[in-house]
Amino acid sequence: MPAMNPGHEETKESEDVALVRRAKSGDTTAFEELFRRHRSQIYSLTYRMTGNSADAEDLLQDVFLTAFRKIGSFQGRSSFSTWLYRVGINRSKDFLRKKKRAAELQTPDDQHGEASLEESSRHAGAAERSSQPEAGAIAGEAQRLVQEALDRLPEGLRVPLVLHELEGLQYREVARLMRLPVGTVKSRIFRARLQLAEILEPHKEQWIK
Amino acid sequence: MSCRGAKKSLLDYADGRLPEKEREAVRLHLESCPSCEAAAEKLELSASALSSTRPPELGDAASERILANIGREVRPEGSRAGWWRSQRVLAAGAAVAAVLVAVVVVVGVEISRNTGETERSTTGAAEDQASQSAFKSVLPESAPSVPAATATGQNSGSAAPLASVAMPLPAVKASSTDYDQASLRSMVESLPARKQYADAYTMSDAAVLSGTYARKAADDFAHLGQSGPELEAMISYVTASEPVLLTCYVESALFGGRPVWVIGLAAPPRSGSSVKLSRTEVWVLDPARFTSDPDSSIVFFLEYK
Repeated sequence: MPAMNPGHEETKESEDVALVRRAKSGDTTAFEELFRRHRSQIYSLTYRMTGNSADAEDLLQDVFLTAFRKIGSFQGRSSFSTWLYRVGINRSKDFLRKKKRAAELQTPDDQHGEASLEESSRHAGAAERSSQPEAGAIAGEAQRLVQEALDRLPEGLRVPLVLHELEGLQYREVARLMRLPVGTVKSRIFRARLQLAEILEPHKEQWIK
Repeated sequence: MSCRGAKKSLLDYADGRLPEKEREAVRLHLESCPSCEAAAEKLELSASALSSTRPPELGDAASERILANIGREVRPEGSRAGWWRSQRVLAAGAAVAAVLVAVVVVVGVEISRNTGETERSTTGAAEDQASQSAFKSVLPESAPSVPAATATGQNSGSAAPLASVAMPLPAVKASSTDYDQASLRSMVESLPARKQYADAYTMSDAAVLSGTYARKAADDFAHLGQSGPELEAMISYVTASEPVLLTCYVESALFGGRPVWVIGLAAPPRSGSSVKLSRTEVWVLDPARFTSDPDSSIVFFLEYK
């Protein structure tokens, strides 16, 4: 998300304020407009956190449903965009934990059992229903390698890296979102970049000639 | 330059964000330090890899499908009525609360205010200059009105006519104090503005006054010979996307020998029901780096909840 000029940002925020006010009073069309305005931002986050379009789309839906249910509690202590990002990060973390837990519970025998069949058919169904298959969303071997490397980072490092390096949020915004000191955010991004490079080292010719 | 010093700057070095002088210092260190050189190479590799990615695209069909699913969840007949009902209850409760507040104000209940001066001299500083941003008897144009305190500060108990009272304004100063983390924490802990703002302002006030108070602080800063517009830009940068941060303190000082600007912001708690500005954020930024790279200008950050 590139940095916008301050005037444009203020206009967008004030438009969001008006839509949120209407959504809080029960105007579902206002909420639908909020979805249209912020879907790309949140989809980018959920894709970077999950690594595939099927999970990213499910998570995107989950984030906005959560936001709708909680919109009564949004008090304007931050911008709507920041608040929505926070919902997105929390739901992404929940998703990753569930996925990790499911993987831990799977025994080798289960890999050919019901759980994996459900997983496979879900992804197959998702691939069918997704109008933009993987290649449309992120193309190229290099980008696939980067996403796989991101998938391998622990969430505590992945989140600030994604937010700052890929979503374009500045350190202070990441610090606020994650409720961490700016210094901690910087050091996590530093460590995340080192780990990412170690994972990508065998393929570095993709980027360094 | 030590490895510790180099590591602090390596991320900015790899991303090309260091000023020339610092960049050269890091480069010289890397020439003689294989460990830091290896780390710098890794940072450059990750920078190249990350910059080569393109944003994932959500297809129109997927977007409409998700929107339809959300619509089905949020519009079912029974739950929508229930949701409406709970929102109306909340709205009614808020309306009753607003009426009660109005009644309290009309009968002239006093709120005591601290009318002392806001300017503080720094401990041990021989050459402090300070702006006199003491309490004012005239409110800023858009500031909220509150009932007056009597001259003696006593509650008159009668229905006295309403008048504007002093409201705390940003304290702005320039000093040669060379803070470190501990001394900065100590200064902030004893900052009167924290309690003054918590007592005087709410989240709604912050939303209305944030721009005005940033400009006020910038004007006072300019009177001290500093760059008011740059301060205003800096405040705008640290408060972006946060509509309820109110400038309460600004100081031109040193931090670890480096000239910095210290910006104090009063804010409501991040969660919960309190709307008082009881949380304080303190940002320490390097004005020499702010224009070229605001992110890299952040030297230190404190938060008091």
